[in-house]
Amino acid sequence: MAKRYDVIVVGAGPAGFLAARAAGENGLEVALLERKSDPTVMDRACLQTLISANEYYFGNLFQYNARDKRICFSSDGFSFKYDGSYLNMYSVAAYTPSGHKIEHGDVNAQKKKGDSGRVGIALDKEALFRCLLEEVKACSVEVIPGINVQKVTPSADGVVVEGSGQSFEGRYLIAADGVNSRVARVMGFNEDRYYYCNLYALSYYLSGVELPEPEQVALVWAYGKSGAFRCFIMPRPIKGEYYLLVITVDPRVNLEAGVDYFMTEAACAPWFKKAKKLRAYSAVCNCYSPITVPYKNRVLVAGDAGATQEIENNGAMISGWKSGQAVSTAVQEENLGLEVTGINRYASWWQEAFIKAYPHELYMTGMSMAYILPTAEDINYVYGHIKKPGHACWNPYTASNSLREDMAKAVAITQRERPDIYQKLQRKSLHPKELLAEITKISKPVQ
Amino acid sequence: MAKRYDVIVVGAGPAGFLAAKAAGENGFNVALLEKKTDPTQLPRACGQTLVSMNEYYFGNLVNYNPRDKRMTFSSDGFSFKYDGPYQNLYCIHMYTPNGHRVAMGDLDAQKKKGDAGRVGLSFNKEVLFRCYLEEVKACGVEVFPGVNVQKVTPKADGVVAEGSGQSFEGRYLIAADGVNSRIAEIMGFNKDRYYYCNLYALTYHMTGVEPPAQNVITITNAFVKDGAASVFLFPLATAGSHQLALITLNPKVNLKTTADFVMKDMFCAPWYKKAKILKTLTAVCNCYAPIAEPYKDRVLLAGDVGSTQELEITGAMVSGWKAGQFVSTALQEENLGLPVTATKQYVDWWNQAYIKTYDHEIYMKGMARSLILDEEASNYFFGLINETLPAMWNPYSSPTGAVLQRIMPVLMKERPDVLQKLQRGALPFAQIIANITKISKPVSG
Repeated sequence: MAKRYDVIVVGAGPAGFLAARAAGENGLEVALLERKSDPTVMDRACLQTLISANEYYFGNLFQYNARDKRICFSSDGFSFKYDGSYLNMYSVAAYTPSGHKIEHGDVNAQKKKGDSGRVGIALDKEALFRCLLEEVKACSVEVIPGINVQKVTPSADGVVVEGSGQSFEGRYLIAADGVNSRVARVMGFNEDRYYYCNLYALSYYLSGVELPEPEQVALVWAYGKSGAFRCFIMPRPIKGEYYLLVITVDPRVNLEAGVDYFMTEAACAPWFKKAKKLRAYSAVCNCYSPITVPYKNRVLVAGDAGATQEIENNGAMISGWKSGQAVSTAVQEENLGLEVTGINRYASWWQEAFIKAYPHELYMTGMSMAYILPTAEDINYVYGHIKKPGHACWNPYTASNSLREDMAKAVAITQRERPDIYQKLQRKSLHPKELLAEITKISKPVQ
Repeated sequence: MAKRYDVIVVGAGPAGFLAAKAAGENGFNVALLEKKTDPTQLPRACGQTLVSMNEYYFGNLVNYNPRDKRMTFSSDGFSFKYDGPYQNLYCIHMYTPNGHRVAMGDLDAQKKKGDAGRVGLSFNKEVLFRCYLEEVKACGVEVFPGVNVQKVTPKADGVVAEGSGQSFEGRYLIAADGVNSRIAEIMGFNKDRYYYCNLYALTYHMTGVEPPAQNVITITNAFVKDGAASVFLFPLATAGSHQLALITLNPKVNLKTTADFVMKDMFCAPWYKKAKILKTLTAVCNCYAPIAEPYKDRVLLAGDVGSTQELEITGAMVSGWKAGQFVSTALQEENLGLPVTATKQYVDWWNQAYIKTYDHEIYMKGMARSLILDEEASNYFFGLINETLPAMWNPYSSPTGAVLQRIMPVLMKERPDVLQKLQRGALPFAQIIANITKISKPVSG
């Protein structure tokens, strides 16, 4: 008979690793199943190579302890080794298609503050995975790579998962299998979720990029021939390397052609004069409304698996850690014959820290700019009126807060001068369901 | 100029070590000051060499992970290495002074459940300290033994601690200097606290003790000429060794002669026929009402410092860990120019997890049973209890609740005088202990 684990964690990303580590430290028998044959390899485009650091996010102020090389979350009281390279990023600049810059934080002022001035740190995700792998092994987690979980069968007192010809039984299961979570789908978690669209991502590691501010994340709105997309450019924490990521929710957009246009013809083309592409990655992510109750039939959902597109690094790490602790408490409560409260506490935490704190509509509206202002001219015009930098931050939910005053002025000017664009801007108050309706029609969740 | 630390932690006990570990892991510069020259030694009597495990306590179900040798607190999400010996303790046997046994927990039934049946675990505190010392050193904490902090001076943006000819400056200070905390005293935290009495303790580490049951905590009361003492006998972490602990609130009781009486003249004398005393330890602890606001002028209190007599090992560990994390958050908030919320969060946690949850009067009354029931009444009352009570090791919960209902009518009929004595237990503790308070005086750390 197969070994029965206390908890099976599916997915060795930030959430899954930290769930496994929490449960392992508590003495549970943990199996960590990972689809890839090497959990430390990153084989797809990843948006989360930057961790937000200068404001509360998911209830914590992220901190990096450079002395002992630890990533720390002091409000929830946990930390873990990260001895890979990293770079402080001091500010974020959004560029309109014509090249007008809207800054979140003055780079030079932020830099003067040292580590306190960084909006986030860029890290090497493969090094992060290597560190997390060492941590879970140190607390006896059995890491089983090359397992693509296909089937999940809950029973009265446990869960059986099957995939890649193998079967695993556990008292609990933590689904940390990412944004396109198969576990969430087969367990029916997606039934009540609203499906918006997919997010298509293409990324390149580049050399020879010449950014105007090397310690600032650049975000560019681009309108290519086949449709609109957004680009992120920032240095990698590896000397001489840069990370370019382009994303769109429109399946008709040819991202490859978009990148070529972006690097050769767009306003920021000069940055890429000497650029060389080193590696290319892609990804497709489902965008659903989030799972509001991340627990059912002894299965907990952690990280992106329950989020709209993604929960960011901070959310993935914290929810993973919390889910591992919650299962540990629940197993102990069961062992002692006490009422099981650990799982409900996790579900309540998820509600408070994520669902209520970060409305996913805001996140989706951020992805819908091209369905509010559909041409480059529109966006150049409106955002051209914003001159003052906003507060320094790297947080998709709060970034626009400090621009509110300037934005109101820009809207007033638009109303006066360009009623045609003003009319389009009115769409901003629509629910993202409506903004994205046309895209939803031509999209289909990936499996 | 002296190095300026982010955090100075005073006292390397369970609270102080974990506060230092938390702040150290978060990357702050931490100085841990300890009065003893060797922080791994335990030179005084300590009742807290066992940790309660089978029920929630300070918000956590403490567990031991024997595979990776870690003590774990999954609700607050932390754990640490403990690689020393330990023994499971499955139930508590209370004995009346004339030897009638009242069992809290059925030993065989609890044992059958394995680890899930233990009420707690006895461990070796010196090994625990050695493990802690390794953990804090691994996260950059500077440990300064032999520093007896005598003076604490808060400043606008920090605190200066002085003692043993040295001076340390920190942005925050965590006082984890124990039940007789000098820092609490000189910082004025004790001004509004009600002083009840002292607790006097004498313990022997012994071999050759032969109690009727193994892996059990036994408790009795010894009544002597000048008063009474509570007597605990429990296995130490290493099989074959026991700790005999006598505690009293009455300064007139001679614990040494009381221990002789227990081992030679009481019903349990046969257990000690072959016993050898390896080590004798003593302690005197102040018993005050707890501190409701464990923060002032950049000084946080953790562990026994702010509690009545003691917070138990679980409370010390959890509060130490929390203090270290909250100070880390406060420092980070200051570094980022955000409003500081974390010190208030610690105070709120302390109030919810301790002050509002655990009534210190119940704790003190548990220590003062002999002031409520005299020897004869105690023999009579507990003699009526023949059923097995719930298995637990928690000084704040009363195991006799259901039984009392059954024997109340018997008491009313047979011994209204005993009932009357029992009812004194409902009085405020200050009243019960009034005669002792009169002849007691707080000790200075």
